Amino acid sequence: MFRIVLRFRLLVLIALVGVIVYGVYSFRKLPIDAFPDPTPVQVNIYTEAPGLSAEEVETLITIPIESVMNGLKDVELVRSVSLPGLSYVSVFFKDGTDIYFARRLVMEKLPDARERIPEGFNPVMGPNSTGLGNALLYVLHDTSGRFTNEELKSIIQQWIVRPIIMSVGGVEEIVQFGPELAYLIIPEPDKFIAYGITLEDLIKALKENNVLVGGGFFQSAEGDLVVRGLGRVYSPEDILRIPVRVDEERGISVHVRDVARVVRGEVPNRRGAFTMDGREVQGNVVVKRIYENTKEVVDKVKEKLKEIQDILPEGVKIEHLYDQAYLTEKAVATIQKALLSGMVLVALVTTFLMGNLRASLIVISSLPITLLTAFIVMKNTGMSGNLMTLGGLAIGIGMFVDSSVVIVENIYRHLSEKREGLKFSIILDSVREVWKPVFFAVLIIVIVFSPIFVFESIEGKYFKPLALTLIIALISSMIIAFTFIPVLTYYFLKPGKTTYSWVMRVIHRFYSRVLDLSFKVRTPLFAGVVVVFAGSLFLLTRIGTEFAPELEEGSVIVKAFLDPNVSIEEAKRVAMAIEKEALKFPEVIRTFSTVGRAEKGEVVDVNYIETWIILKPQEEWETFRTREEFNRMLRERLAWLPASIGFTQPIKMRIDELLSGVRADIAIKIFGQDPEVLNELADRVKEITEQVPGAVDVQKEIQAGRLQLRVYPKWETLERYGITAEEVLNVIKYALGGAEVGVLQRDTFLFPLILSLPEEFRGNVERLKEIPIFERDGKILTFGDVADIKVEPGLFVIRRENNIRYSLVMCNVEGRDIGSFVKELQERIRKEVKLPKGYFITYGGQFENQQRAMKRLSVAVPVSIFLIFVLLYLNFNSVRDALVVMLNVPFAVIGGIVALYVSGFNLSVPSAIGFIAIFGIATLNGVVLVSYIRSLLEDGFDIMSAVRRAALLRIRPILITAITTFIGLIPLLVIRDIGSEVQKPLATVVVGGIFTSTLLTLVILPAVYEWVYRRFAREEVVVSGKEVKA
Amino acid sequence: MMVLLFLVFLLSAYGGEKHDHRHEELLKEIHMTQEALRELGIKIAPVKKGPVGRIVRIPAEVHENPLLSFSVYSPVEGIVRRIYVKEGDFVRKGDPIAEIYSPELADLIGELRMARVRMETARKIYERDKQLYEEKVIQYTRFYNSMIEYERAKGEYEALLSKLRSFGEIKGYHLLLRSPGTGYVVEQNVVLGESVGLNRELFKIHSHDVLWVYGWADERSAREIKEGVSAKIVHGELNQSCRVDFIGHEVDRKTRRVKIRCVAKNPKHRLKPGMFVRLEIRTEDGFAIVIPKGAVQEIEGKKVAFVWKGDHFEPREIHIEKEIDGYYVVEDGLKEGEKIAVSGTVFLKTKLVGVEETGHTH
Repeated sequence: MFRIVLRFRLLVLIALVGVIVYGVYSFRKLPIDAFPDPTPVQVNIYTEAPGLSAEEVETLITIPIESVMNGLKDVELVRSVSLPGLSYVSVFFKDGTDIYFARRLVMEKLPDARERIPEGFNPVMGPNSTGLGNALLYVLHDTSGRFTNEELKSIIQQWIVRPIIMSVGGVEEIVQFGPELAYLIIPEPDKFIAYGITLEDLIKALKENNVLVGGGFFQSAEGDLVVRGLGRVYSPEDILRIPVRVDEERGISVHVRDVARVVRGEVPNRRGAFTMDGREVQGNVVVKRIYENTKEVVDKVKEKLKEIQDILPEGVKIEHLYDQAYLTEKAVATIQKALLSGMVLVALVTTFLMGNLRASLIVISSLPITLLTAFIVMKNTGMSGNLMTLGGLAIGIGMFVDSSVVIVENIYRHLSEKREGLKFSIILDSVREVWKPVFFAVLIIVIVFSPIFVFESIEGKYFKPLALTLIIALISSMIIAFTFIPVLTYYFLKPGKTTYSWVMRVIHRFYSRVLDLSFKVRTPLFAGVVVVFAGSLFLLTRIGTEFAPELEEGSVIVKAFLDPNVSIEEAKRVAMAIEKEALKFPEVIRTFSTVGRAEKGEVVDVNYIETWIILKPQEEWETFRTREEFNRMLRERLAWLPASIGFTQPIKMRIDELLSGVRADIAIKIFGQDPEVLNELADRVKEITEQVPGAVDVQKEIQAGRLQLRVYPKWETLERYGITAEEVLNVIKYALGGAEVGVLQRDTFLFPLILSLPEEFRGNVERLKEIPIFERDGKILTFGDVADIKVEPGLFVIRRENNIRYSLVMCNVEGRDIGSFVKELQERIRKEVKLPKGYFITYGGQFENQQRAMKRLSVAVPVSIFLIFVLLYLNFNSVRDALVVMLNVPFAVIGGIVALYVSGFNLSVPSAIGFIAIFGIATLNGVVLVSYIRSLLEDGFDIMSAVRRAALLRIRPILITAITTFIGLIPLLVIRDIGSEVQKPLATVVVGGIFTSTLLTLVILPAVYEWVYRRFAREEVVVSGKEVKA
Repeated sequence: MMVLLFLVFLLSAYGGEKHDHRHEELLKEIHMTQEALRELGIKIAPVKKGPVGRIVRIPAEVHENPLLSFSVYSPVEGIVRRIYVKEGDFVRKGDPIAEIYSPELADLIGELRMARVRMETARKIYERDKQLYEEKVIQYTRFYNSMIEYERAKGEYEALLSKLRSFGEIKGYHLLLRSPGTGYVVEQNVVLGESVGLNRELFKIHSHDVLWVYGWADERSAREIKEGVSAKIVHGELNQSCRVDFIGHEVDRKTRRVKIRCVAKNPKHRLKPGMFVRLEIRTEDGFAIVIPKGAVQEIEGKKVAFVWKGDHFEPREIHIEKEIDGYYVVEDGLKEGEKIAVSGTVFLKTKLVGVEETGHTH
């Protein structure tokens, strides 16, 4: 094979050029993302149920939908939230289910669900997006004072801006905040009695006198005329002219104008608002479609926003507030920086250690080619360039040169030694000599990383790409080392004068003395290592655990819960107060808040506020140094607010929510049936949680205490007059529920017509009862006649998971690792909370992933280590040698743990992956050394000189591979930019592990090997017959 | 046994602690800066006394007051010779309205004159006879006869005169009709030269000085409204008082409402019969401390108001007597002149008990 490569070397060179060109192309076309989208396969079903309370939503809508969806294929979890007026059911499918297939399944079942819920409520699937779909936020605001927020939303946003942005590929939906323009028909119920009309009459008149019909064609002498029935209202005057009924007593016709006024206003009952820098604006969230590339969508939308500004009326500004691409850019730039500086450092070190410029240039050239090849694979397999995939490349940068180093080093050594031979055959022989160990090494690394592929859920989505890209690049680097590198050496490498640089000579001299020493003090040294290893294991118990370090997103979100009975106006005041406090920090660029929910999407009411605080870049911070510090300061300043405050970051919040359904680090869910009991338990849990050190932002979700206006039909009356409950509720729907009674057409715009009772009636039950709503049997019946109206507290939100209700306590953790916090919390709750039968508590949050990941690793890692052992055994055909090589694993662990402990990082999934990586690298060091010792033994050297000679000869490749790996990670450790957080623990562990494992491989392994060889020689004969012959 | 005792002790200790805790909560002060008040929209207003009755608002229609409506008929058959007013004119009581020529009247006047001549003649004879009798020239019988004659002629004359007067004011041979009351000429059914008779209404004059407003109250309100209470008539900007003087004894079969009559003085004549207006009737008189409902929050089943003490709020439990149209009548707990928060109190409640506690339904 290698002969063919070398023979057709020109073709290989041309292929190389092709790979480079295609690689560069792939790199530029590679979709860029912040990190892999961890959204599970999930379909959301929304049902708007205006006027229904949370309990009714649960019983009438949520439960039927849940029961239908539970039976679907591959459904893992059904989660639901029932709010007053809104039912939200999330159906989670097994990982790997095709989202379109899942949506199809849900779609097929929706009619079933529709059948089981009362008529008039229409469950619809949520936008086909992900938890991280809120790609961009923009607002419209008026600087001229000519446009109200209603007009901005209903005219400009709805009819000008929205269609343009929706046309951008990848935009699934635009969620719009702000009041909506409507024509309000305000009846004066006092006059109803006088004119003898009822609310029912009015509603009927409005509905029936505002229609548009097509009448086909009318054939006439002028041609076929289009028949149009124009019964639609075009102006408020048209509405006023509508006749309601004929007053027979007086013989006059009563018109709408006699009993009502028409005003321009906003659609009542809205449950959300958007404020910015202390005033209300019209805010919009652009939601991207699933699998679309965030950055591409954002870039396109941003461009459109610029274009739209030009066509907007004077004074109206469209402003882009936030987008996820910002983070993507930052994060990817950070990783690219790490990658680039890693490359440079590795190049320098290689040059330094190789001592030959040409040789090192060839080695270094393998790096970019490796990366480009990896990009080609990534692009063609649909992977995106993100924190994890690029991070995988950054981590492996030192390893990618290894194959080439070994090959080039061997060729160079042979070339320099046998100057007279044919270059062609020297290179061929050199490659053939080392291709097996190189292949073996790569195989070991691949196996070592394989446990990561048992990850599932979010940790899988995060870290599988990392491992995968690393493996792809590693294999590419090997292929490159076998193909391009020999060709390149053929063309460019010349024999050197000396095989060793002066640096190596110094190192040799020093190392041989160290070796002497290590043979002398072998026993105490080994005992020392054992003690250190034990010590480091003890240290491990002192290290906290967490899923992954938090990403610094550059912005903070303050979540505020208010009393469930606050009005939207009151909530807006609090939002603006938070914004004001935040703006007092000079580091804050801008603040804006969402209050409640927009017309679609969020499952919250107006008592929930999210205030976004966009911070300046970290370098410009002065008042505080870290985000935690900022949070702490702001938390203190917000203490006066009548709200329960919590802190998070935009993307983190979404990920938390995806995991546990809750926007906080930890969600404690108390399951059971009786809301009252759940509430009490939640109180107790909250109390305990607050006492656990490290707990901040402890919030209990308010689930009750929402005042409701309950309408109980008086059945006897209804029966007596032949009125159905539906008729009663229909009137409520229009009179109180704000349902549209029609539309008003202005130009090409349609505006809703909505019946809205005057203030004095809406706020006053007694007055409400007096409104005449029906006329039956010549009698006028008022609201109070047909129904009891009462204001009573009721449930506010009902959460369910797999058909069981639960209440919720959530908290964030500060100044402590989440793992130990959760452990303590669970311990205390188990001891202190007595759960009634049928009640149980679960804990959710990112730590779950940590625990699950660790559980998986605790099985997978030993298996992979065993696999390595098997490989080693197959390679050496000796249990003894394999075991000696495996000694490197504990060696590496020591450094990893110490580095982790000293740097203060927690034991997270990335750091665990770091350990996995060093297992491989450390084993490789051992393999290099032991296999050389063995070959020297075969050559007839006695054990002592074989060990010594091997150690001295192999120090260069060992050092080069160790140092390149080590150096390649330095940038990741040093860089403080956004996006480097996740890789840091990994890099820390690897750096520490490589340090100790290399040190111990060089210092202790030779001595141990020699001792073991002598001690176990006899057994070895028994174990392996082959060995005897050797 | 010991264990049981211990348990009881524990339970009681726990219960007591909880109670104290709750008690403490209501004693807490809520500190707020002026800025915070402004930002949260918490408004402070002094506690005032106000009328305690419920205001019943009912639809109503303005009607003429039948006690102040006038018709003008001609008391005689005749021809209208002159008309002083036209429809829509405002007339005062006694203003001339029309003159009517009546042959009947002319006859009467002729007869009257004749009677007068007869009376004069009789008087002269009587006076002469009287003198003669006193001088003993004639006998008493003769004197007596002439006296009788005179008396009769006088009686005849006076009878005719009073008959004529009963028609009204006579001007020449015409009867002058004057307005029976002050008001507007709302109807004119006669033109000049027309023949009129007793069964023909010539004019209708309505006074709008006092009008009746009929309202339709639902049964409950009707029960609460007392005769004699004052009410308000509201119509657009119009706002005028009236006095309830009648509450219907029957319920309207269609609307099932009770008629309420309110007498309204209408000096500026802004109320017009036929208007649809709204009556606002206070069901009860009397004053007490009333505060807006927005000033009160319910905390653990207690009604609490927040009293402003210059730099902080003091939550105070209050007792509500009853609720009227967005206001509470406070039975006790607040004194007149104390300042309380009247809006944004939900925030004060939150400061007091925290957001989560809302869920409690103790």
